[in-house]
Amino acid sequence: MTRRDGHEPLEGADRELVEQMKAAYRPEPLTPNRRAALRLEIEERAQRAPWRLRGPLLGLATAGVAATLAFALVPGDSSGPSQPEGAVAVARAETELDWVGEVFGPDELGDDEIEDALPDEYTLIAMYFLDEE
Amino acid sequence: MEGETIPASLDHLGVQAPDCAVPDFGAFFEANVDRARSIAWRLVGGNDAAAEDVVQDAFVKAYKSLHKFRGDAKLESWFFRIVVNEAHNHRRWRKVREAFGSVDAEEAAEPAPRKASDSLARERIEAALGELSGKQRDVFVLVHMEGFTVREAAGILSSAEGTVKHHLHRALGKLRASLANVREEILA
Repeated sequence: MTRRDGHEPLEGADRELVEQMKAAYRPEPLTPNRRAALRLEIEERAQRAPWRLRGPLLGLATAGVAATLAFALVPGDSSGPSQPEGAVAVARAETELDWVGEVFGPDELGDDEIEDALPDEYTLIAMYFLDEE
Repeated sequence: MEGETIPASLDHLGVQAPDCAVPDFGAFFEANVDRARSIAWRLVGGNDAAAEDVVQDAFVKAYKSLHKFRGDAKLESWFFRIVVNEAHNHRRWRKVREAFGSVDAEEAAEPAPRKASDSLARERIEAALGELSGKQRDVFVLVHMEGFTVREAAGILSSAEGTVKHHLHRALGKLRASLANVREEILA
């Protein structure tokens, strides 16, 4: 049950586990020099405004991926594969496309989460492109 | 930096003052960089360079998009949403690069651990977190590791509070099981 302050309470072993994880799994603090350098890099990038180029570059990258996928899906023999060859080509294409499902599929979700994954995916994609404007 | 620097005030962008005032970029950076880096680091798998890339992208994008901020949410929530989305983008493109075998050694390398037991504990925790779905990892990191409330996490992730609680419950259950046999190593 959520506490009045909105935090999720943890008790006993769970609280101990989370505290152990927080202590063991955290980044090293930024050194003052690195912190200053990071801020400087951000300021320089903000001034350079490279985002105008990012849209076309993203388009090129997408086209490149699409071309690669199309190439992977086209059977090597232009005269058309016989039935067994076609089956092999399909199996190979499915194998080659496994990673596409991993990357662009339902975001590493378990079966029980797919139903609520789709709207968020659309939201993410929409936000990404809207932010490019 | 030579030449112009980012103006201290954001007034020139015509931004309506949000509920939480943003005095200047420097103050905003200083107030949020540590938490942003910690979130990014924990979401991209404990890689310092990747986390800094995500933080850089998020700050630059936030700066560029500040005029779109509508003030109907806390500025920090809006910014951390950008951080989380950038971390997602990084994870996706990393998978693409891995598929094409173009992840270089420096990017793949883990940062130097402080001691051997730290490295082991971190590996175990990273493996356990890696078994979570993307959303389970997001909510677990935000709520239990970064201390956001369920409502704040829901705002950051554009999800319903009930959905966040559901993912949180399942994430904790999975981690409890995954780390059951290695807690002594984490404690060491």
